[in-house]
Amino acid sequence: MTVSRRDFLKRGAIMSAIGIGAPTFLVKGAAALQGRDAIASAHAATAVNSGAAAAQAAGQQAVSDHAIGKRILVVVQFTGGNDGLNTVIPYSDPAFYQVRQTLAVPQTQVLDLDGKVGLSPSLRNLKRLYQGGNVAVIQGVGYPNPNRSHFRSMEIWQTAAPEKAGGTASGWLGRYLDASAADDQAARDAAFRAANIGSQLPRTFWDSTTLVPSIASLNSYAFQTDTRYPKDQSAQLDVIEQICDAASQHGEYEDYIRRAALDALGSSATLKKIVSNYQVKGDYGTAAAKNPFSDGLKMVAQMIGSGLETQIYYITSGGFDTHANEKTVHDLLMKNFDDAVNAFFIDLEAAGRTDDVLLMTFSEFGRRVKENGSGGTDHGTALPMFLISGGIRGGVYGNHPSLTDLDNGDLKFNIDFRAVYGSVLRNWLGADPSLVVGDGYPNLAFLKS
Amino acid sequence: MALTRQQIAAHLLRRVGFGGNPGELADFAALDHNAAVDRLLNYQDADNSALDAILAREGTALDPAKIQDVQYYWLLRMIYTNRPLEEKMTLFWHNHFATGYDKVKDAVAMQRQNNLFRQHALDNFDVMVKAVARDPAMLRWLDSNTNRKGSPNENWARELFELFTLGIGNYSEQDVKESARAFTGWFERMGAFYFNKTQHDGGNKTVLGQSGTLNGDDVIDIALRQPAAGRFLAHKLITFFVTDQPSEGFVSSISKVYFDSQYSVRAMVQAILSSDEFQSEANYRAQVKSPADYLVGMVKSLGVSNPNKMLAIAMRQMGMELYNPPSVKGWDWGTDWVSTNTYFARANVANSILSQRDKGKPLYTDILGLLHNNNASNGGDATNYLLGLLTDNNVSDGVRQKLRDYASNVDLSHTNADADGKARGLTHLVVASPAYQLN
Repeated sequence: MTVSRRDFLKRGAIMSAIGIGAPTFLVKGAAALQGRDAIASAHAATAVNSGAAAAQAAGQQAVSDHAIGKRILVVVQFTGGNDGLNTVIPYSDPAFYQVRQTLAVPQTQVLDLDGKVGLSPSLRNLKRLYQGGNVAVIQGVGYPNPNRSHFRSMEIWQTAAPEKAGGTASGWLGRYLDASAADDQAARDAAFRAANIGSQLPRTFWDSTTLVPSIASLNSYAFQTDTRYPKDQSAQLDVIEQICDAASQHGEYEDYIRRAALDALGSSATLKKIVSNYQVKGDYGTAAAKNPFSDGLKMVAQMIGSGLETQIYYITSGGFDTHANEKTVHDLLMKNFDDAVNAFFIDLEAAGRTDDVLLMTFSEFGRRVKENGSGGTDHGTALPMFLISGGIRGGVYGNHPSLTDLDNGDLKFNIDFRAVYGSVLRNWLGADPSLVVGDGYPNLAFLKS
Repeated sequence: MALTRQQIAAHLLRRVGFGGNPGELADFAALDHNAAVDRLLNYQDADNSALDAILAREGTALDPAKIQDVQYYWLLRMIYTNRPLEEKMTLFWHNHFATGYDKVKDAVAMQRQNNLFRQHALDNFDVMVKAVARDPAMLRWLDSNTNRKGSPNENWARELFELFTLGIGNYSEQDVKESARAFTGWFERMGAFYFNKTQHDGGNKTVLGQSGTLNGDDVIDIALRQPAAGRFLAHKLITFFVTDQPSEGFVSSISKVYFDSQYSVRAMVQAILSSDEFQSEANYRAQVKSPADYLVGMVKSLGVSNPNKMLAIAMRQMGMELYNPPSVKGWDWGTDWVSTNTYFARANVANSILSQRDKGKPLYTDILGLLHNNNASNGGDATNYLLGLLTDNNVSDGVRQKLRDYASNVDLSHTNADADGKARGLTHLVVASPAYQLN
């Protein structure tokens, strides 16, 4: 399991080497005891600093630090391999209806985008957002020598380092977080510079020295106590904080653990306090129609709406491996996504943040062009990505890959996913993409000018 | 200050197993260290019928094709075995030859691999490596079926050198390429090893300076006699059992045992556990508990009854999903076990166990009964008893006082709900404390 490899031990050594007497964790621990919001205010300061550092790293001058400092990236991972052809549908191509005889959405039901391709009928809110200029569809995204294993291809998308096989590559956002705050200890220490919504930190953040909490729910990211004794909770919280703040008996490992525990307790308290002040405006589903993705996006909306200056959010939606019975499953997945994004946008509008938040979707691969005999599709290659924000130039980017000129029955990609990552890093976050995904990828000018 | 017999016995049971319950702690403290090591090492003589009965009873409700059931089955072994070293070594090998269900997608194959690790737990290393090289789960994990004559796949050959036997820097890229050829045709078919002769490259190869029409077993033999092989395995075993910062001399001495004993893992483990380093104060409570150490140890120490599959889910939440290590490197041990969210996962798993007050329900434990049986009927005595049981009394006076203060506003001599709640809350604080996270 790799959590953020936040190495307190080395950090402690560095701090004493440069003569800083009071390590930050002690300050934090004390703050946690006093009011528990010093982390939030410390973070508010560092968010701007890291934006500035990032812009500096990119060598860009004209970019407003303030604008970049406010910007938020929400990465949405569709796990299992999303059927791109059933998401952004090449309905104008007759070949499509020959290879997708049972799965193809009839032309009349497709939500047209540009006269050539259109959205799944389940994406009606996305269509509306597209009409408002808030959705960029990047067509035919993939990479050379595509791998059709979930495991490996997800690793490739998460690390953006296809050349490194096995367990050695770090995650692309992990590299970004480190590179953009290389000289900024406070930013790396900030409790919520980036947050994963879910129980396990994805490979995407690996090896970062920045703390990236994985928050499955507000409930689980908290020190729970016996619900039958609610009054005992504050007593237990006080004692555990005092215990963790006490001097170690056993040297560096115990020191490390008590600092991690103090960070957890402090950031949990911060999260709870500020998020409880914000009531969502959008409809994230009734209890009966709830899904984890919608719950997660609701939490992101709460965190953004309450003013937490987290720069990167990461959220996963599962169940896309539609080898059989795809029609029902995929329609529901699309609808869940569409409804959640709609609710999310309502919250962003209420908070006045639509132009500051960019939602980017990806999946480890698209699916085979020809449907299989089980009403489903097998593992494929290239697929579309969505960029959704009020701050971008909406539209359809790139050409749809040919449905007849195939590579072993799969689409040939037009745009390398590292060009999309790189463009997001450069245009949205003001960072130098060469530090993260390498050089030589074209820039997609998707920003609103 | 030298460690006491009790402390060394508790240390041994933590490192060699998953911690002792009060009965085991007393038994082992009565032996001298070498006798205790011998008893743990010669586990083939230990009666394991209690475990077998539990596995038979629980096993009927489990589905061997479901990974969560297979994970739970192994946790039952860890909790109830009378051969702790057998399970700890099985965990060592699972981490060493890290294979993941996410790719293998076959719970039965994962279970069989686990049986293989257990069967050869203390066997000679060459026997183990050759068995693993033919293990169906491993073959699938490292893409052996695509390792064909004329178009070798280097995945297994590379990991064999880098992660399983030699360590990076002790072989060349050319050695990997040539070795991959030696393993061509080592396939998995219908859940079994299958040598596909037509896909095997029988030509001349040179690996680590040795030439010939080498096959896979030849490559393993060549690798295992490299000086680096002895040091590599010695370092890994020492890190697992003693410290992640071993001295040069300690590694060399265990590496010597590897060669002197014809690669006997039993001899290496015996030498490690008997060493002065193992018993030194510097290495006492100087590891971070893995989630397995944390969870299984807590269940044992607190006498948690009626286990259920929640334990398998808890392992995943804490970052150690059995049969699903994050990569072929295995888990990152040490401080990487504890992050903000896994700290909460640990504390919250403990809370969900300790909040179960209905006898007969899953994961029930009677903390108040435990305290009363040990004559701890006030906050001070209860704190002292639990700190002794769970941390070898290794906390500062300040921490002890905080806990006593917490526990002292309720009369623990009663058996009412308030006393029960306080006893559970106190235990929760102890297992959530930094001191308890140390092994």
